[in-house]
Amino acid sequence: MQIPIEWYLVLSSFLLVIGMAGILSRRNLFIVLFSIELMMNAVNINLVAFSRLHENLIGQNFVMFTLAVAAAEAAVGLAIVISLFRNRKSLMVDLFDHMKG
Amino acid sequence: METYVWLIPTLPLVAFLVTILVGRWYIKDSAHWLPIAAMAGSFGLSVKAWLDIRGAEEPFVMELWRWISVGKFQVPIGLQVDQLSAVMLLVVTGVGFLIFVYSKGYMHGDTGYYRFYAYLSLFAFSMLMLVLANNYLLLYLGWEAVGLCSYYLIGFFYHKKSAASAGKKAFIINRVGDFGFGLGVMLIFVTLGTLNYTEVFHSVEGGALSEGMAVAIALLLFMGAMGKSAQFPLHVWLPDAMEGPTPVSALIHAATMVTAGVYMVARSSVIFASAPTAMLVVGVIGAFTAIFAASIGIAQNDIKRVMAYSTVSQLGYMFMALGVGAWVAAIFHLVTHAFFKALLFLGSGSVIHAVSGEQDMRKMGGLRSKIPYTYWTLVAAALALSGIVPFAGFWSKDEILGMNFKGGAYILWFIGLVAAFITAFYTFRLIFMTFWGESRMDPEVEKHVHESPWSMVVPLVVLGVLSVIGGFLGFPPERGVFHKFLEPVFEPANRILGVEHHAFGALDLTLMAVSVVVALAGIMTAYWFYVLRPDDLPRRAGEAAGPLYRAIFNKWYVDEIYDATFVRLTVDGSRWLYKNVDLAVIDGAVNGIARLWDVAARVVRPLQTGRVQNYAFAMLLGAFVIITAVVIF
Amino acid sequence: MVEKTLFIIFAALAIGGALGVITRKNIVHALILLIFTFLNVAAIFILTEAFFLAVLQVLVYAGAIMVLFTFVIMFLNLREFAEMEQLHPTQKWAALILAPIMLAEFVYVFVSASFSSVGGDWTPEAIASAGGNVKAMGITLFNDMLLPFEVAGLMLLAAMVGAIVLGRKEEEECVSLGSWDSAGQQAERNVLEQEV
Repeated sequence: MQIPIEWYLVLSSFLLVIGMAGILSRRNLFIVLFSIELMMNAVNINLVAFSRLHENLIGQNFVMFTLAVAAAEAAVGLAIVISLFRNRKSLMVDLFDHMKG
Repeated sequence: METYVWLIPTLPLVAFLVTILVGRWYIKDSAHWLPIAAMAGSFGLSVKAWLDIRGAEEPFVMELWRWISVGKFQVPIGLQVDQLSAVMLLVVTGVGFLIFVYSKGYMHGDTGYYRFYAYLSLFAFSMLMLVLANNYLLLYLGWEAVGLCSYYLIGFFYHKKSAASAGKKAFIINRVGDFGFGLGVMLIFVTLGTLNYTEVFHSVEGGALSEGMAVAIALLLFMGAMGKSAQFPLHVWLPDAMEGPTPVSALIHAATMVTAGVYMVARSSVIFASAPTAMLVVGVIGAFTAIFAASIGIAQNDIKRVMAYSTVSQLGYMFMALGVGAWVAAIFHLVTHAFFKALLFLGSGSVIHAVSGEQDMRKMGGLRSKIPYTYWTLVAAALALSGIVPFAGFWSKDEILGMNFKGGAYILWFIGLVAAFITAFYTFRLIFMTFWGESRMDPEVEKHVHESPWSMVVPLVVLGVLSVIGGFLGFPPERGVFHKFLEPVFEPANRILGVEHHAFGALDLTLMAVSVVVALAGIMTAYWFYVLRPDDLPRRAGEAAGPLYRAIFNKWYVDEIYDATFVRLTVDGSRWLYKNVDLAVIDGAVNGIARLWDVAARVVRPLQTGRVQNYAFAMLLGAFVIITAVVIF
Repeated sequence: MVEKTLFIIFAALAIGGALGVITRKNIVHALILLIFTFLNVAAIFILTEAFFLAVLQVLVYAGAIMVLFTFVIMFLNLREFAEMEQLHPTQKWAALILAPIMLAEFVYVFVSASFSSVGGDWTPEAIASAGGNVKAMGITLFNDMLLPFEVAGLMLLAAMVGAIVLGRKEEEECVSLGSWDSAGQQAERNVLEQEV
């Protein structure tokens, strides 16, 4: 354990916050999806770090599943993006305010 | 007596129920049979009751069933027959029967024929209950019920706005008086613990009331009498009540309902006798009303309105009598007045019938030869009203004036005398304007002038005869048959007052002569004004009097004063309350709450932008807050 | 020592890449930078001796998911959008304010807390004796986590079906669920045609 666990956690929180900022501030739908992937990576780093700390492999297994979920989510999300683009001809998220009020 | 006395009010009640429930479909134009039969039955039974009660020392009391029984407050439906109620029974059923017969001819063909007879029967029932009651609460019930029937019957032609308003006016003014009456009844219960006549009068005789309390109760009861018997200032409803059909005016507003006030005060003679101040008030108001109403009667042109003011004036006379303790004189005048005033109204109705509905005397004239029965009976009534010997009105009116004078109320006597002059004047003004002189009628109307049918003429004749000979019941004055009959009833009151009987002496004769001279002077003056008519005297006199004439023509502006004060106050006050409390405050509060939600929603709605990023921000913010909370604590 | 240096390098690169992702106007640039970030994260995984995961990260994340993204971006032909304003006018302030605060909070929590090992079975010696990280992962996966493994497979199947359905072009006519009489069908058809 030469690298203190706090380093991993700080890195993870950096990535998390950056991803969060991306979700909140960008108008392009793709960038928002990218930011979501960033956040998931941050979580993965966190899990792996703790797995190393506790000398347990459950964390790493969990990451595998998170990976699977991320893949599934990316697939479905992109299908939705395609459908959305076909209907609205635009991918600016703040234009999709049909549920307003 | 128990076997039949309860039938007296019940027969008209049954007539009412049957007529009102099935009258529209089954009885229609023969709606008169049942009520007339009922009244005939009641009259017959009243005669029997009168025969049975003669000379009885104690009243006959009978309880029909328990009405209110709450602890100490016990009020039964009970009937009391004594000499006073016997007299009232005869008047109500007798005159009522004649008027029911008259109505057959007068109301013939009216669309509300059955309704008219139904209400008349209900009225008869109510008046009989009022008269037969043995306790104050039942009296009050009858009192209110006759007021209600009066409202129905005044507003009988309900399509006419003036008739409907007159009905409302009568009821509302009556309520003002009844407010006092109700308080008086409550006060009786509070101080004496009972409302039963016998118990109340025994207690008061035994001195259970302090003088102040007696005065209070008496004045409150008199307030009710003022409303019901149209004394100043609650007299304003009676002239407007002439909007009702003439038989109604005759029965209710001449012979029976308006006399209920006089009856009630006479019944409560013991209470009034214990409150001399109240008696003074009664006498003063009576005298004032007598002359006040008579003065207005001089200038009225509507034949029924003259009679209405005459009624108010004569009621004032009755209260004058009650004010000096002349109980029997008051009831005597009530009876004779019922005869000749009902006759005057019915005769006026006959005249109106003859001239196809015209009621303005300026458009009549010269009817003497055309409708003789009506004419001669009305003359008889006019002579009786004016107090010419030996007609009925003379004996009763003169007794009232005499008792006032001998009781020391000289000013009241003088006022009564002046009022008698004015009474004779306006009565014969009516006769001369309507029957004598040149015809001022519309030519169309003149062609159709005809005498009324038998159903209308016969009651006129009967009442005419009674107006002539009825006075002899009270002859010799203060010692006649009538007086002896009623003596036992007023004995307790007379004992309290300490009344002695003096012999009929020179003073009495002088007073009688003065009354007759004054009355004749009134008739002569009317003759001079309206038959001889030098230089259009009436108009010149009216112009010369100027503001005084205008005042009496406008009824001394009493209605206008009421309108400017009470009516405006209530209406404007209501309107102000409506605008500022109901609309602004209450509606404002309710609407305000609704608007509050609307505003709140409108404020919060922008949060729902429909954009996912905003929602994501909200979620992350929330997560952040929770994390912070956990970190801190 | 070496490890720490390597960690700092890779961490810095990853963070730099992430920052680049969220700030680039050009989507393709952002895409490439995201792949770069993923590669650096894989390197971090190697530093934690999670070798299998590192490879998985490169293969699945950078290799499959990002390729998928690339395909869709190319497919949709979004060149014109690069000129449009990409940052939300008001919301960016929310991000700019909230992000540093959250970061500070996270860092504070992580640095001030003390972490102690629970003590599990798979110490590095145990991993080594089992035959390496991959073998150890395999043992745990197929022994302890067999059910989640199968469920994950089903989930992927569902995602596949969903993606296919969602990505399909809309039909011209839909089957009406109302009455089967000719008039009803005609009316429904009109309505549907209006909508489409």
